Amino acid sequence: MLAEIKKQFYETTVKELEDINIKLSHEEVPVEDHPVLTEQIFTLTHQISGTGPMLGFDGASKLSRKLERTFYDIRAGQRNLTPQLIWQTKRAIEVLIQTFVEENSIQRQ
Amino acid sequence: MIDKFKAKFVEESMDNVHDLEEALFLLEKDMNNKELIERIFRAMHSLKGGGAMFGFNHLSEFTHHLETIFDWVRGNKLAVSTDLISLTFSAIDHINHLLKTGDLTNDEEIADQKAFIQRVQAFLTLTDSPAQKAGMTSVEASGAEAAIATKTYLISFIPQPELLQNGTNPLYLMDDIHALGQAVSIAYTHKVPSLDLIDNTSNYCIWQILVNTAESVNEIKDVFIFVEDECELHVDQIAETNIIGKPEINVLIEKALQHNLLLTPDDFKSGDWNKVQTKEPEEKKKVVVKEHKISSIRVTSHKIDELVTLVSELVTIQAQLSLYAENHDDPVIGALTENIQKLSRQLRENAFDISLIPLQSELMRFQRLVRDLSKEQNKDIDFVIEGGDLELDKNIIENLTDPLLHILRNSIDHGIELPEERIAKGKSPKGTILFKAFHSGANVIVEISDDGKGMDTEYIRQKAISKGIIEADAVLNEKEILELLFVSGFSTRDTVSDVSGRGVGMDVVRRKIANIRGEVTIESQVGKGTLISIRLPLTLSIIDGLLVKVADNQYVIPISSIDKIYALDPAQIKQSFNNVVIIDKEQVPFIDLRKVFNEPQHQTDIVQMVMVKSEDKKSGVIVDNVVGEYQTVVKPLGRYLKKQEIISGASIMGDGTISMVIDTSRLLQSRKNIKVTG
Repeated sequence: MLAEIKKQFYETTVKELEDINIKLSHEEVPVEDHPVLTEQIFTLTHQISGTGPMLGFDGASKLSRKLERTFYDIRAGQRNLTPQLIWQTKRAIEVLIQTFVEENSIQRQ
Repeated sequence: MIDKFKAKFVEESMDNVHDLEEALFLLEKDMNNKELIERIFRAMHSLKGGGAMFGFNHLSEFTHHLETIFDWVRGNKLAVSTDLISLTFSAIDHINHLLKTGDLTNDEEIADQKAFIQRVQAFLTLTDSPAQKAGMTSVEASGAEAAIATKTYLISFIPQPELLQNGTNPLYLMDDIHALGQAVSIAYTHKVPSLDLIDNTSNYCIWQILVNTAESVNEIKDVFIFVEDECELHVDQIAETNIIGKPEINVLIEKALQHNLLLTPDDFKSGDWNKVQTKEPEEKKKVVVKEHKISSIRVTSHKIDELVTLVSELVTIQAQLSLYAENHDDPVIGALTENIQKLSRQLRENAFDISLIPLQSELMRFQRLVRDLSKEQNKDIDFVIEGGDLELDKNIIENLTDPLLHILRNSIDHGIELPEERIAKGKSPKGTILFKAFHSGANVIVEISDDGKGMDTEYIRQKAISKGIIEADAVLNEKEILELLFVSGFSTRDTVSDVSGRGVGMDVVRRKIANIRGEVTIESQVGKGTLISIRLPLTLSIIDGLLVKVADNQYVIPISSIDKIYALDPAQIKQSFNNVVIIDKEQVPFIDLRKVFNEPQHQTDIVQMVMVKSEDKKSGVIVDNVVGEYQTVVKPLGRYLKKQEIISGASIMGDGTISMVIDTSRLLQSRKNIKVTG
């Protein structure tokens, strides 16, 4: 049962991360899309930080916590979603996907 | 396995709900407190996220709407109001229900939830659109201003060895800095070990970058945002102009690399560029990884019960060992036994300490009861808590909750008057219920007092006569009249309300409190209010007892109830009148345990009298002799012996025999009854 939960969590999370990554890859993310994107990244990273450690994705959770913290501040209006931040988020999400894939393959071994 | 996760989620969510309720209470008192609003929002958010993850879909859907409300409140789009707080309190009850039952299956319940969600949504539609926050534009404006001229910055990026372990490539960061303007990087590689010692997952390099850019410091720091926990980062403005490529700068860089000494903003002050400025020290950002230490762990309560049981068993075995050592007169075993005794005492204290939980955990329910009931009855009540952090055995707290809820209900229903009635009496329209908990010797006292109408003893007396509880000519003092409230079937309320007045109240309260070896008393003054005081033991299962002998049997008297021990001549008892002896020129009532347990009269030259106290009563208890102090593991008597009055449990002695544990308060009570009827 746990393996099934892990599989489901891994698959849906990686898919959602890839979706976000595509959105971030656009030349310029329109400002009107920022709130939705912020919410999406925050919710997803919050979920990864919370559930990841329970399912053995410790490394991914560690990195997602940083993203969660940053996007929490953005949501709260304490930080702006600058092009630099969008760029760094894209980098971090790529690393996050890679970490997920690696941790998943280690668990399967 | 999924059930295990679900159970954990429910357990954690219950804590979340508890936190939510607490924050809501505080918010009601301070409706503009941003921190509390944030706390409530976070709790709703966690419930929503977790609910969806663990299959609590109705919970997730429900909390989603509440989260939206508090998101609006956070964003100043909606103001906190009493109506909103009341709605959220009702929502908490529903969340609790959803956590206990999981997704709703009953159509009626689903419809109820829908109706509830509509009520929540109504809050959003009724609210006017908000004005935009002025602050947002000013932040953006300040960013634009900063972009006017280029400045030169010194960035010191000192990563920790584990930087590479979460997938960060520091060279990408260098690229990103270079993308901000003109830059020159300095890599310090002096810490890189020889090839055979290199760990390819560790970082050994330090970087400094001089960058000339129009971007702000924050923009530069954003490059490092996701590695700030793994590095020390300083960004200092060193010049108002572009100084990169100047010969003096190249010399400085050369020198720094030669000596492996990092450049500092001060190194750039001596140059001939005049507009060198360094940032204020407080703007320097030093990010240090915070060490995460686990300060507490969560253990299921049955594991604690098991630990306490095991400790109790150990205490019993230790008593056997002590007896063996005494009988065999072996000094080695004697010394070992003493050590084990010390250890088991410490272990016992530790185990009990673990099973103590703060009273605070239950207070939320009481606060909630007072709030809801007072609103329902249009009464204005201030519920004041003192000593909520006091800790009690969890079994005691579990058994105490119902009696306390009942007492509080009584206070609200019968005690506190309506505001207009209070004003007419010259009182403040707002009534007060004070909940106070404190230590008193080996006991904990919980007092609930109100400044309500108090109890009319004459009315109680008449009621007791009409119900046939006492004779019409019975002479009772005020205290004895108040004691009538604890008689089964007594209720002063003429009509049965939803709240109290069913006549099954205070006798059940006393019985439940007695079950946890507690005592309850009432004091009241007409027009002034009522005080209900509950005296409780600290722990339930192991007590410090005094082992005494009566005929051929041994009994245990809890040390916490003992005042003094006297030696008496049996003749004094024989000659006494109405079970009272004179000691230190004072008349002392006594109870002879030989009489109580139907044993033959004393044949010894001397007997001992143990002075015990209960509530405000004192009495001597006559025993043959005192054996000594004894760590007593109290075992329940089982249902066949439940009915007997003065024994609260039994304990197994070291030699396997059984000693009965005497309930001193009931023993003294029984003496009083004998006196009254006799």
